[in-house]
Amino acid sequence: MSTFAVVQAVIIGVLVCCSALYAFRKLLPGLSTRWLAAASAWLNKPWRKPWLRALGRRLQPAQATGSCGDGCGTCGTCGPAPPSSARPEAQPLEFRPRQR
Amino acid sequence: MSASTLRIALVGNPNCGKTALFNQLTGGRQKVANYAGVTVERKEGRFTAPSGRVLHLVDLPGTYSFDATSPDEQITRDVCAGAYPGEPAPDLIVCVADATNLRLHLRFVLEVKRLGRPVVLALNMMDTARRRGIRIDVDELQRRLDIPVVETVAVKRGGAKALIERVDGEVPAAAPAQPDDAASRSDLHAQVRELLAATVVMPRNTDAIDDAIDRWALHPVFGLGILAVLMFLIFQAVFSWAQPVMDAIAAGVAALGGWVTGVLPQGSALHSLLNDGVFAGLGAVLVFLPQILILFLFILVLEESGYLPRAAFLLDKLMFKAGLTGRAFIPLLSSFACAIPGIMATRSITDPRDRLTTILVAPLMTCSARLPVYTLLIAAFIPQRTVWGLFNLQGIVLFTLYVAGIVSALTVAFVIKRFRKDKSEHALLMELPSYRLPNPRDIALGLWERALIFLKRVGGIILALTVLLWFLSSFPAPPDGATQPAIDYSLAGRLGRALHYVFAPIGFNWQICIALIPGLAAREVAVSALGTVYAMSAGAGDDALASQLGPVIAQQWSLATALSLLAWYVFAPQCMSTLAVIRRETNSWRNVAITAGYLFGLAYLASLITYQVARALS
Repeated sequence: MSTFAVVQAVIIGVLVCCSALYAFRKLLPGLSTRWLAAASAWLNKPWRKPWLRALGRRLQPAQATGSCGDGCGTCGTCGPAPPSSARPEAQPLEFRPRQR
Repeated sequence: MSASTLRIALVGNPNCGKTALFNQLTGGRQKVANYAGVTVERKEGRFTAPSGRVLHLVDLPGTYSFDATSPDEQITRDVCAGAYPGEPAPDLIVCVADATNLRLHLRFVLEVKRLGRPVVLALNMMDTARRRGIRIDVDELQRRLDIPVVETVAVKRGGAKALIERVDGEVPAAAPAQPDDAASRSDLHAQVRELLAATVVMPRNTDAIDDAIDRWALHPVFGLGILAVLMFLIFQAVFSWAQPVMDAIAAGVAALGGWVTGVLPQGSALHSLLNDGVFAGLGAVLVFLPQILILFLFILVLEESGYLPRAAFLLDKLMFKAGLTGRAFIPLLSSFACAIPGIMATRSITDPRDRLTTILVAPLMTCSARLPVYTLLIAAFIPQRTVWGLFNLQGIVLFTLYVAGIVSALTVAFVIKRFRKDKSEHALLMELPSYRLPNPRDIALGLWERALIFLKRVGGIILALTVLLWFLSSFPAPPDGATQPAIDYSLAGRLGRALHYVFAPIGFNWQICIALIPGLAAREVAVSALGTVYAMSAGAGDDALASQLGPVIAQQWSLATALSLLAWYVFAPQCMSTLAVIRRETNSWRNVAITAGYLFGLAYLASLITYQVARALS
């Protein structure tokens, strides 16, 4: 296999994988967040190799990232902050019987 | 909230300039337009006042009173009352009032004051008030209301200076909270009359220019004629003005593609990815940017001018007969840009059944993502001919497709009305704003944002799906001694041929079937997918064919197939984001299934009839 063929295969492989990941995250945001959070947790176990743990942290979706506002209290520096309540931005339809 | 920060809520009647003021203060670019109901969500921003104090600003949907009837009004009521989940009560309420229409707006100011929170009144549009000869005794108004009153011109640079100085100072004392009952509400009207008599001199209630224009624009016959001519001219312009720029973009993409792929060995996979995938696919979509911008130029000018609520008034009778409330006009009109903001704008509709009907028909409005598909097919199959010595035939066909979307939405709404148990009627009560000359800077900014949105889609989801489609169209590689193009042996080719059995009765070939799959993500992706599929089908070495999608389909498709695909795109819900928003806004997968089911059903039926009739006639 020539050097060009190897480089070509690597470039195409990276482009296709990145495109698939991008499309997955854009088109199925809820599912992708759950899957990425699960993959991140699986990779980020204490007994894993450092580079696998780093990859796990990298894959961690924004919503699942620990921060000083989420009340996790694991690092011992932020104190027991209460979890922030979700803000209902959507206003779904509600049907009620009409008053006569 | 610390002493160095302040939480401010911007409230007021609809279309009084809250969001324009919010944008001016925070440097934001939230959508503004000259009609009621543009803001349906709460928006948050912050800015640092000259004193160094950080001011958190919350822009709220407009409301005429705290007696909320629609979901967007409920947000305003709850935030002001400190009852909105996860949001503290505001430290200060800035009540924005239109200085040209204080007879209507002062009532809400009095209602806000009764909440018992610190309030500042911003008299907006003071420049227009002065031009119309309206004189307001601001000091006397301030004394009688017992709250600070400042003058603002939200659409002019520096027009909010007085407001910034006021909110940066000491927070005014709150008036004692008062009960909100029927008796006190009728008191408010009497108080407004007293305040107006003591502080405002108005030469006339309405603007003379508005009245003069409205005599024609709202005329039951001439008004409808003006509306029809206006819409017709827009679609003529989309075709007539855009062509030179489209040609330039197509030439630029072809030259760039030739230059980039020239250094790669002909026939290599990387050459094919760039030439057949990226440049053929993205280039096919990119050329439609000028047409989209021309369409939005007209939409933005109409939005800023104040004509759109007049159009709603003109069409109210027709919409009412079709089973739609007059309040559905603005959401449906927003759907011409994109169905997603249109569906979200239905929050201003009070009745949940009316709201659901509007949500169900909103995807039938011709969104801008359909434009690349329509113009590709029209340019390829409809001759560029002048009709009656004045009109462009291609423009007439585009106009007809837009009308087809509107007629189908009205028909579906009419059918839903027949099935509805609740036959109650809701009259349209809509405020007609003053006409305003559109600000060229705002129009330019609006167009710039539309261009960025389109280019981000091209460089984001469309590029990603094009690369994936190229991969599926290239692998598995053809066997040794294969005689057909590689795509025939690929996964996408096999999938396209399998789907062809379903779509053959409506005239779709297997290439169209392939393009419909990535086209489910967004409508314009179908164009880039067709570009990629035909470039792959053309085989290696035919780069000229790859860069010219229009002539290729004109050569390979019948007119019946093209018309059938146009009919498909009038109805088919080829947009996953729209279905996701319907799920969110209705909180129901059932409604998503109903929407997708009836739209796909109508699309297939319309394409079947179109194809079979066109084939029989040809």
